[in-house]
Amino acid sequence: MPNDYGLIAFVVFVLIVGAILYAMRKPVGRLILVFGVGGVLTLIAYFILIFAGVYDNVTGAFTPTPVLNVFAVVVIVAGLGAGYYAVQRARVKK
Amino acid sequence: MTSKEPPSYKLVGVIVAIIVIAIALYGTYSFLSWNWATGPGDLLAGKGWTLGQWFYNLGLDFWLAVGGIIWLAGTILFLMELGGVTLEGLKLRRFSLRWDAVDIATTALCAAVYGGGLFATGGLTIIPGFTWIRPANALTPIFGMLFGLPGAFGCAIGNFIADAFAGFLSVGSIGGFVGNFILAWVPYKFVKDASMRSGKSWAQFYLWGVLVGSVWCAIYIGWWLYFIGPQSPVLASFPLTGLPAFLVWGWFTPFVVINNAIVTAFVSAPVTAALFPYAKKWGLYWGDRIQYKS
Repeated sequence: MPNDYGLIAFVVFVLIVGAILYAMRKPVGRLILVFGVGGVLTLIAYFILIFAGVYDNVTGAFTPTPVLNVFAVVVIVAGLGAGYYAVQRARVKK
Repeated sequence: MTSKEPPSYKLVGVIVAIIVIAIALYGTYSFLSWNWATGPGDLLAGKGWTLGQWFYNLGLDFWLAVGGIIWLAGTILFLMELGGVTLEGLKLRRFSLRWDAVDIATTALCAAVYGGGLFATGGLTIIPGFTWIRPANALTPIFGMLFGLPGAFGCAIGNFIADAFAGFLSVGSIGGFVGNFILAWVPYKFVKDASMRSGKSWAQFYLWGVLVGSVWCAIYIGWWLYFIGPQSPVLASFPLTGLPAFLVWGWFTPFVVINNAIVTAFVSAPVTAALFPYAKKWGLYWGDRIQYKS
């Protein structure tokens, strides 16, 4: 679909810009690289869920989505792990 | 609230909060009490949801112009912040963030918690493929006010993740990326005291964090969806999304306004007040990490 191609092109563009800025040792390069890598991982997850047929089960308003909720818990726990890491690092730097 | 500030600040804080909460409640009530037995197309006959009808009646030319200015301002601010330039009052000021492991991990924390919180309710669809009931939007001002730019960028990434996992990912998600950044950025910049210990900070929060942030975010995304949609003045022959203009301005945009406003009005400020001492103690508060250049 043109829609998906446009999005893929955008994410790849961000990834390349981030990689270039990171290679040039620009501080913001690390952030943009995170945007790009995160975007690629998100797209991979998106297409896996499409081909797994998860979205076929989400048919409209107020559809129960237990699979999504399980994914949500996993992602939130990963985020809290990142937060714990940030706190530990921030304390060390103090 | 601190006793050092003039009592007038507390009064202003209460008045602003009441006005903004009243707007959010009215929008929510009118949305829920709309006659759902009829279709969304009733808007074209002047019988749509009250708030949506008001938005739509302003006209597509109005939204093309005003929405375009709002979209451009948001995009410029987003790029400026990426480039290390920020607004201080009406002046531009250079700053430096290290974007070290702590900042990146804070961004990842916000992205994952916000993204996970959003797509957990992905089944509560309002406009299939475009938006759903999103209580996790309450997290955006919290992350913005506590963590600053890492929090705001985390919210942008989190919205992108949520779009993917809820099955809503499209070119429209690019607008959602910046729109959710703005939703966190506005309270980060305009609420001066994130400890929420003064009437002034509550007034600033309700005015900027709830009202302005919600409206700006909604119009930003709405204009993007309109511009790349089937009734775009530029891309009509090659639309990148399929949302007609009446759904963008009569349903999507006002719904995003009230969804953002209602959850942030009731949840975000007290949670920020409760978490501020911890963010400060753990060294994650943005004010302790940013360095301004003269």
